[in-house]
Amino acid sequence: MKDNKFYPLLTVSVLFLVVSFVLLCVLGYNFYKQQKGNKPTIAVAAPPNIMDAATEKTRDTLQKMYAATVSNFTPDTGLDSALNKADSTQVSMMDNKLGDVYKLKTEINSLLKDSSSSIADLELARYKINELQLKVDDLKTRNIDVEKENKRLRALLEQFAVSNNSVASSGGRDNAVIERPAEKINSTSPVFSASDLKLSAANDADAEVASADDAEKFVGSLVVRNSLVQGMGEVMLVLIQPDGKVLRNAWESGSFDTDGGKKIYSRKIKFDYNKGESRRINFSVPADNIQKGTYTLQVYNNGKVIGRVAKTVS
Amino acid sequence: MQRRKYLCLLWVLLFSGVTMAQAQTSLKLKFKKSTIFAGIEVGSKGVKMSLVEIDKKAVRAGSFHLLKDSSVNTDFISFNEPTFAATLDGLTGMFTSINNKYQIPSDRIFTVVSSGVKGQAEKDNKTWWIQKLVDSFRVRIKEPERKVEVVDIKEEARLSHLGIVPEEKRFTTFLVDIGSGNTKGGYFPSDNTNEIRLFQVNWGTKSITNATEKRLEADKSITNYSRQLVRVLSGTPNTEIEYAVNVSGAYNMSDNIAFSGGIAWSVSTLLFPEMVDNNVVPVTYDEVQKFSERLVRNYNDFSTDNILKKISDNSVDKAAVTKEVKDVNKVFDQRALIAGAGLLLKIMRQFEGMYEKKQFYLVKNGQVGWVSAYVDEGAMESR
Repeated sequence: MKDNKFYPLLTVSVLFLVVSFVLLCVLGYNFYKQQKGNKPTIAVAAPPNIMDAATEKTRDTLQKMYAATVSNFTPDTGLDSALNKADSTQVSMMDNKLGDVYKLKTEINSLLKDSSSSIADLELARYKINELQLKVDDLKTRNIDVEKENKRLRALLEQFAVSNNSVASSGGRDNAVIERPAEKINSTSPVFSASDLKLSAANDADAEVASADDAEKFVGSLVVRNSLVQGMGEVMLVLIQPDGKVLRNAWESGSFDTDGGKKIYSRKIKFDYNKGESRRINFSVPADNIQKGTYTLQVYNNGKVIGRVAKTVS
Repeated sequence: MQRRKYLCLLWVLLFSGVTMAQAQTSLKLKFKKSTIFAGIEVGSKGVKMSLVEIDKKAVRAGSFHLLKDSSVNTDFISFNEPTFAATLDGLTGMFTSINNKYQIPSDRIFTVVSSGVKGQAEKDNKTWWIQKLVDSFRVRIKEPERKVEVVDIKEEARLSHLGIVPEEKRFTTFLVDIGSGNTKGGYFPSDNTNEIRLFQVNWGTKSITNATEKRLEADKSITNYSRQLVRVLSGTPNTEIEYAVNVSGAYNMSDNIAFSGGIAWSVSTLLFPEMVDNNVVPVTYDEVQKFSERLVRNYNDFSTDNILKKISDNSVDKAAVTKEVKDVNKVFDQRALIAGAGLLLKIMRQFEGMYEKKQFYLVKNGQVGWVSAYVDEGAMESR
């Protein structure tokens, strides 16, 4: 009985051994094939030492670009001094811009300093450097604008102080030009400043006359400036007669709100305005009966007096 | 005896000379050398008189200055004996007064019948009342050849424009007269002042008020009135106004839109009391809109006392403000003001563009405009 089972069991064992050997061969062949298929890629790729050199070259170029950009930007000097003197709107705008610049600087630094940065990372760094360049240029322009505006306001203040002194010393001149700087460039209500105010009595032909009998109207001019807004601007001319009443004209005069309540204007002037431009405005105010005495012209913008001039008619 | 007679004559001459000079000097003249003319108009409501000063240097029509105006209500268009008699008395009285008090000779007095009277008489088939008035007037003043012209609506609109709008704004201004029963006006499309482009809508302050009143039913409150007014204005008036403005072509041709009529006078008086001395007041759409809202919510703001309290400028003539505000409150009650302001806003809205802003004006003395221009043109022809 025992002898009859030995041979079939031996045959099954041999069969298992053969199948295992075949499977091992297939596995070995597949491994060999796989290794063979990867070989061409390795052959095409640049050697590691050559790839590093190209990345380093790009990184160096970008470092130089970055250094050049940053060297143009010195926030500790001019910009800070401008910021100290600028009004709150300008400060807030410049603060935002500065924040953007610092953020970009940090991002670019981390991309350039990271030795594991890929080519794509360096391309991103290049893009950010360009953006930084634009923001720095913008800040520089704003800085120049603020500096110019500060200089102009300082000059106006000095002029005001001088004219104030001269009026006080001479006991008041008849045709004194009393100009004031914009009282306050409020962050919520941008105000034009007025300078170089001129006023004279004129005849029909616009020629200046001294006598009330010959005068038919008042003519004059002023220069307006505003570095904050552009578009349409308007100023109200309030011409106060020697009797204290505002000179009025049908179709020209109206009323407007001021800090001190409603006032009547002799004439309203609207004009197109480009930001930062010094714009000269000429005007004329017709008058039916010109009185003898001193006429005072007040120029209003946004409810505030921005300039004054007096003219005596004999 | 002979010497006494001469002395008496001298005194009479001196007295009449002084009286004449006083009459002339009581008028505040504008020009250095000028002539005074007068115009008397028989209108729908009554008789109006205007004294106009014309510059001697003036070489063409338009250089005139309105010296004085006054009117008397006679309601001629009722066309009955009492109103006829009152109108004839008013007309003759004004003619005699101008002649005697202001020493203006007959050839410098112009008499005219308005288009409103003509229109109503034609509608009622009562044009003979006009002829009767003219004939009776000629008999009374003993001038059988006296010219009394009856003007049509187009001519009146043309003369109104010439009389109200100053020369420098003549060809850029669209003039709209909001009356009680209709709204009319026009503008000059070219530099020819004989050709006016007429604008007309059959709605006025009173007709809008009446249409709104009819919709009130049981709820007579101001809130409901205001709600119903919006519905009235959104209906036929809106369609008519839009159509009339589009057909006129005024939007493209005008920089300035000037409104005259009772509601223009009322709004400017209540909204800008400090401008009491100005016959023309610039205004914006927003200002009228806010005014309209205040009429509904805070009507008490427009009482004489409250208006006076808000005037901070000491140079404003407060007595004149008091008189004007009282006059407005006599002529227009709260509802009429709300209706009139609503109609005004509806027309203004047609010109309130998103990009192009027109300058709006409210004209207070529009009623004397056309007769002044009539006098001015007549005066220029006679020179």
